Amino acid sequence: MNLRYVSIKLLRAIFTLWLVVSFVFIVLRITGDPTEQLLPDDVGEEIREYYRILWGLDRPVWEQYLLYFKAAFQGDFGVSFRNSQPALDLIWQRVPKTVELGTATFVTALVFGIPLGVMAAIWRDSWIDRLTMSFAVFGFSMPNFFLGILLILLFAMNLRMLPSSGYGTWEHMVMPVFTLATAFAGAIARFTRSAMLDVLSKDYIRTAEAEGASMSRRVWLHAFPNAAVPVVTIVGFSLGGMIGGAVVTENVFAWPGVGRLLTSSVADRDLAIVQGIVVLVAITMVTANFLVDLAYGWLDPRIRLGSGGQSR
Amino acid sequence: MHAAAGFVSRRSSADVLSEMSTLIDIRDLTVRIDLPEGPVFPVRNVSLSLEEGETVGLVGESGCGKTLTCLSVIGLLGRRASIESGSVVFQGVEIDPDDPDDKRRRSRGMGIIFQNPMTCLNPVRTLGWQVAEAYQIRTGESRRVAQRRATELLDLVGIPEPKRRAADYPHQVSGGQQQRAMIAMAIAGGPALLIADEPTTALDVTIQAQILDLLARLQREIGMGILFVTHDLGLVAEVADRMAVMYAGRVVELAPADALFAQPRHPYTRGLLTSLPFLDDDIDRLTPIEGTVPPLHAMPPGCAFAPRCSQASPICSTPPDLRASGDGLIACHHGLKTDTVAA
Ligand SMILES: Nc1ncnc2c1ncn2[C@@H]1O[C@H](COP(=O)(O)OP(=O)(O)OP(=O)(O)O)[C@@H](O)[C@H]1O
Ligand code: SF4
Ligand SMILES: [Mg+2]
Repeated sequence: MNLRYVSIKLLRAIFTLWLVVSFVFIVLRITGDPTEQLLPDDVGEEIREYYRILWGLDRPVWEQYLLYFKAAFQGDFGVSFRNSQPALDLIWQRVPKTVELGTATFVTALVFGIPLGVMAAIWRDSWIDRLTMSFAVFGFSMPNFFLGILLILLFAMNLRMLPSSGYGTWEHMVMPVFTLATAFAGAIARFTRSAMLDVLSKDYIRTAEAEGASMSRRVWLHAFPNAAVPVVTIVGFSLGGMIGGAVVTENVFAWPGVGRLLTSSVADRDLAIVQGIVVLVAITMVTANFLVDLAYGWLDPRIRLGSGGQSR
Repeated sequence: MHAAAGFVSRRSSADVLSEMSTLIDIRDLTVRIDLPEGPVFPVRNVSLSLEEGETVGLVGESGCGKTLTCLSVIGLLGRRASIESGSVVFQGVEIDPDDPDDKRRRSRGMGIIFQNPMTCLNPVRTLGWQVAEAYQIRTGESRRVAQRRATELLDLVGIPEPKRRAADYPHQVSGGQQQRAMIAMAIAGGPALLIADEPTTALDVTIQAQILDLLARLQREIGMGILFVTHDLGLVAEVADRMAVMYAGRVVELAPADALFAQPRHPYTRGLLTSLPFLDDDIDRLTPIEGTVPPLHAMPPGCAFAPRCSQASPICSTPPDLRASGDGLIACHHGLKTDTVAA
């Protein structure tokens, strides 16, 4: 892969991260005295003073900024006041559970969304197309908390087939994953369909048909690799929505992940943790975008090799 | 109307004729397109045949139905267009657009190249991959053999350093090289018929001549039949054995190439030829003949050329049939009065 392309994208990712972390710094400063934000209301003035010196709040702003960066790079986001553990440790304990939920959702959404979108495009205006698109609209327009509650009512309360909440067995995963994956799969199916419709009408598909390539060959070897670029884009963009959805879904199903930690920390004004999670989410998003950029280059030789060459 | 099917090619005196076999025989073909406003028939009662190893030039202004005729032959009309009546017989067997077995037979026996190689090549596959695939599908050979053969084919169509170019993507090579790669795909596995639908229109003049030479060379070496479509009469003059001139969906003149260029008989062909600039002459040839082609939904009931024809008379409001004239056939009530062939 083109080194220049990768380095440009990498620089962009680092720059974005720097912006986000700086943004958190600025927000924390302009919203007032960080000791008031980060410490409980009832601590005494001498303790506040102790923390001001500990956090370097008595120093000039630019020095604070540098110190803050140093700390952030070392993974030091301060200490949770609820149990005095480092914020990062507390967050880190929750990460695997959220990653588990996210991965299962991701795989489910791709496994359903892509074939449905492809089939809808091949047999456009057929019943399978209409069914897929209705499902996509349903997934899109259904708020996560509402879908989650409906599922709990149906499968946990009425049918008693699945545990209503908690973590541990695969049964615990079914409803949260379904809740999160519907919107995601719907978006993927819709974009796959329109990208495939676009590609299937291209001249080179007609060329492939002329030389006798079978339908499945035309779809998977000729059309899909071209349609994959817009699909990857939407997968990348949807990640932000999925993180938002995960916060809600984890709460509905009492899933002990980062999202649940975030809501409880916001409620308790445990800002060291909130700050850590914000940075973590930013890192995730920036990494995802970077991976999407790499995927473009991998999928599309025009991006990977540049349009230069000897194009007469 | 079937007179055209039995039309004798220039190269065939009676004894040669018995040895030659008809490769493609288009019989009274009418193509229908369903538009929201109702059906139109952009190709009407077209009859045309092509012998093995023969090159037939199909010419006519833009929109006269050349591409639809080609697509009917190879069975790629698409969703909205269909064969309304008539038939296409390929190597003695009538084609059936909906039968998968017949589709396989056609794709093995025919190759097609189009006007714009850039859009006809898959942008995410290398040239070698695409040529190898065409070869593999036509011959059923293994991927390994196909890959080796692809390099040879790229060499055959005159691409320098074929081994390296095989690893290039379409956007990395020039338009002329792209069209050469398209030709390599079309002739991979040795089809008996090559349909070339305006293969040089999108290219520079110098590249046009090279592609034309290439097609002529391949024809000599491989001996396939070529249906060469163009709206540029001057271009096919050197390569075609016979010529078919189309106007508004119909064949209006069918003649040996020499005879047609020496003595065009249909008023439309004469118009096309007189408007043809001499070589190296760069007169604007966008409007060869006064007036425009009637729109598809408002075809005159009689001769479609009547509104533009200087020879038109009352009888031209009835449709003229194709009938013998000189060495060829024309669809005109008047045409060239003299039946002696001028050399
Ligand atoms: N899929 C389609 N839908 C609607 N109209 C079509 C379609 N395909 C062809 N036509 C119309 O049918 C007529 C004949 O088209 P065709 O492409 O065969 O012309 P052509 O002789 O190849 O012209 P050109 O020199 O521009 O390639 C044109 O008027 C065109 O607009
Ligand atoms: S039939 Fe009549 S209108 Fe048509 S080309 Fe001949 S002379 Fe002209
Ligand atoms: Mg055309």
